[in-house]
Amino acid sequence: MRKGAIWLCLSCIMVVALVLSACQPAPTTEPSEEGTRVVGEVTPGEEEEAQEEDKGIVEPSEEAKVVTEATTPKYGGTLTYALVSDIRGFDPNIVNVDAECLTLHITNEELMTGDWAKGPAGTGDVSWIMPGLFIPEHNRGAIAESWEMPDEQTLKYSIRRGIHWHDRAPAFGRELNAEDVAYSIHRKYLIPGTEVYENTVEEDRIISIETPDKWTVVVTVPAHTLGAYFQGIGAETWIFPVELGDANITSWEGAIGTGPYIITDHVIDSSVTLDRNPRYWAEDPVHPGNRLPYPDKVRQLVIEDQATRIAALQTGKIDRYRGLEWKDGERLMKGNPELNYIRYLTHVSPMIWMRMDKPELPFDDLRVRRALSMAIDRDAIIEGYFQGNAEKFCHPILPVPDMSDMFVPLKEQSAETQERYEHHPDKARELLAEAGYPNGFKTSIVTHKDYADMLSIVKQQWSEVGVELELDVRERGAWRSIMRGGGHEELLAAQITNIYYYRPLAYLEDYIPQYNRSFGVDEYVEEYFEEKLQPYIGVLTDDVLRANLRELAPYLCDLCWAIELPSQYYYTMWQPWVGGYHGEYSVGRGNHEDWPKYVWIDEDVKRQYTGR
Amino acid sequence: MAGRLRTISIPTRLTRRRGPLLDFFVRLVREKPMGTFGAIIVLGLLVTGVSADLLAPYGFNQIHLMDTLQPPSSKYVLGTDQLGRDMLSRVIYGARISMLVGLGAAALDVVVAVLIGMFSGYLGGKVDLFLQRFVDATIVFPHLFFYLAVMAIIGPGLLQVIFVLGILRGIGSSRIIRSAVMGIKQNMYVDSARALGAGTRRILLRHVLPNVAAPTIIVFTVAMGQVIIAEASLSFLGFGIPPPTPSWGGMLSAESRDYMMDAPWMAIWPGLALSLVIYGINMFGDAVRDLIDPRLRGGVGGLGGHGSGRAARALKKKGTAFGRVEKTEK
Repeated sequence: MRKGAIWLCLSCIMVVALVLSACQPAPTTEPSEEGTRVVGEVTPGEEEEAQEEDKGIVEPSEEAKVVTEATTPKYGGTLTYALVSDIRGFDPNIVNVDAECLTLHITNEELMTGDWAKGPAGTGDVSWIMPGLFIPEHNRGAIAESWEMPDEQTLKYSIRRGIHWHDRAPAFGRELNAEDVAYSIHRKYLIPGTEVYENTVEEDRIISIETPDKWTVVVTVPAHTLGAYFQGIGAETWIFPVELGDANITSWEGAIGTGPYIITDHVIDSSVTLDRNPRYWAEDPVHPGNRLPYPDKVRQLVIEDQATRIAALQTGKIDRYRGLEWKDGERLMKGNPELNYIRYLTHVSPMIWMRMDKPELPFDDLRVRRALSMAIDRDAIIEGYFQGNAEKFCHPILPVPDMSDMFVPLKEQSAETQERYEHHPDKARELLAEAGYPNGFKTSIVTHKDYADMLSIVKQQWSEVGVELELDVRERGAWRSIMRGGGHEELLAAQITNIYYYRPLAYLEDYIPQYNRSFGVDEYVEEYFEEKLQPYIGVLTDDVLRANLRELAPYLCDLCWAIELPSQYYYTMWQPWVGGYHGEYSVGRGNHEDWPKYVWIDEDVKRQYTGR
Repeated sequence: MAGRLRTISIPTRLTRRRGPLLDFFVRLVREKPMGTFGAIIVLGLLVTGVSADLLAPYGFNQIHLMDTLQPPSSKYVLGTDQLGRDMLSRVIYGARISMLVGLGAAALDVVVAVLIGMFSGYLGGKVDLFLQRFVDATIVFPHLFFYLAVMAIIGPGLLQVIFVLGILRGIGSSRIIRSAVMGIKQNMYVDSARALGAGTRRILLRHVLPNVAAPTIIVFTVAMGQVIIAEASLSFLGFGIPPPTPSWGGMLSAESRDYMMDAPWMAIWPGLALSLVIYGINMFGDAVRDLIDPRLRGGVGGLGGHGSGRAARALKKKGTAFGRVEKTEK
């Protein structure tokens, strides 16, 4: 009895403690006092930009803190960061390089790469945050020392001398030459069965690949494809040794390249370890004379759980974390003020896709689509749900500096587009009535749980105009298969990668139809495409193409082929002992996580913070 | 020489016999205080679940975007979540989900267990062999994989959860019913019924089924608590009741973990509710099991009985139930 009474008292004390802790004051919503403080070199032109008229562009430096104590480049140390999932392979012919083979970006190289000196570390012309941009003037030669296009069908590359393969099979440290480049181009584009080959129509295939001498590669392509191959061969083709032959690389021991790091260990679902390539050829473009890379080792830790990754950052186990949601970022700013950070908009936008091919559904009527968009109060969502950490107009061009010459602010869009990004439930009801739905209608949307919150808000807001939305929440794998197969009956919630600069066709032909089975380029944009864009796809001087993309964007907005939801901000955060880093992610087109070779670790500073 | 004389007082007025249900509850209150507490909690769950629409101050998905992550206050008694939804309302509606899942899956559990257990235990032979191997295979198979596969194929939902949990648990619980049936079929009255020409169906329905009522009730009460935990676990993993429908397990999952540092009440209230309900159901289930166990029948309230010492202690404590024993000195 006495024992029971004691246990009962202890239980009551626990419950009371839980209840009291649940009744704590509301979290403060004042902005962080860290503000924006950039120490070190001021990016030229930044002050002038701040004084320009507001063009709706979101500058990462508007919400950034880069106060590094590691100001002097130092060799040595280990750079550690987390991977969300384990790498799945080492050969781009087998796995998706962007998502499944991140080591390739620091073990292998391409003919050209992004110029680190054009980024925040140097002139600040480009942020290197977005992974998809290919802007020729922001690139520099890597394996290729130079290139030229003597005519509309020819690409000619001069191969850099003094580049050596990693000292392992099958090349054993041999010097790279034109044969390796020719082999790699052939390997990517001309082998039946590979994804690139199967997705290329016959008339677009490479005509010939020649090596007139040991240091020159000449590629002949169909005339209308010159621009696409210029990007594809130059910035998207990984170079492998010719000794590889028909084999694929299936293990880390066989991973070979010319990059700054060599894989020395891979523990499945745990970690990848890479050691410095002692014969790497490149110098730091910001600190000329310094041979890259700086860190002796790179460790990629596979940490699938988000909370664990955050804890690893807080405790100094990892040096950098990209992709923190805004709420986690704000919490870390308060709890770990020593961390540096930038805030950025990701290149994807959450959208509601509609089946416009089914006449029995209301969605092929533009009035209905506009009404549904107007019924959403995006400002309230941004203010209440995202606490101000989101933007409502990011599609199809992101409002970021890298795309500022193509981005048309909302206030310069058509009146209809501006209206549908505002909250007008009365107008929405009128439009629905005009379209023949005076009492609204019922519909359903396929989604996964990540969108459930935002769609719950949409559900409530749409109910105010008579549209009853049912959420069909699926497990992520099931949702993905519906998304890819176009199996959604009415609506689908899925993100879209916004326009990649040099691939508007891919955007219109691949991404949109993927989410909306009905949508074909021909149906809606045929005339515009043939006249305005098609002739310029292969153009190498990009001013015309960029101007036309700027003109295309409002046209796409007016079509309202999908309903955009607010895009949230993310944070990249890193430790104070990481020097030379400003939040970069992809230095050049598709070079995910290739920044490690440019940054350094100051072990003295690290010891001050961590004691180890 | 003369032995001790025992005097037994005959009550002048016969005690009216209570009905079995009333007798059960009287005994529950008298002998099982923790079980009574558990019964009150179970009753509270049922009432809350049934009258959620009346009790909840707001709708479970009523969003107040300007009141997100508010702590408990007079306006929102248990605070709000990341969408400004009232936590009290969501906890109340979560009780409905738990009640539906608990009752539905437990009932299905019992039906499946009785069907398989009765046929397997009574018919025996090859039927028993086949059914028990099937049960063995089902028990060995990791249930979580089965849950995930079914959810991936047919999608998540309340009915799917009830169906999956009920069926799988029922197959496992059939062993208990089978054991009871095998004991019952040895009894004389079964042989007598068979000798009188009663068919298998009649024997099962008229003689076997009523006599497995006790273990069936126990299976039901035990299953209820475990099913609620299982549903909470599935929802926590993201495979149970999909959002925005409030399920206590789902409320403990992603959103509570994401906002744990900023709004701990989002995890505390559904966690407390879940703990309290499971505790109550377990206490009630234990009490039910103790009270209707045949070994105790008559030990306190009836004639005879074999008892386990508890009857003797009760007699010593309270005196006789139907009589008073007096010692008469020689």
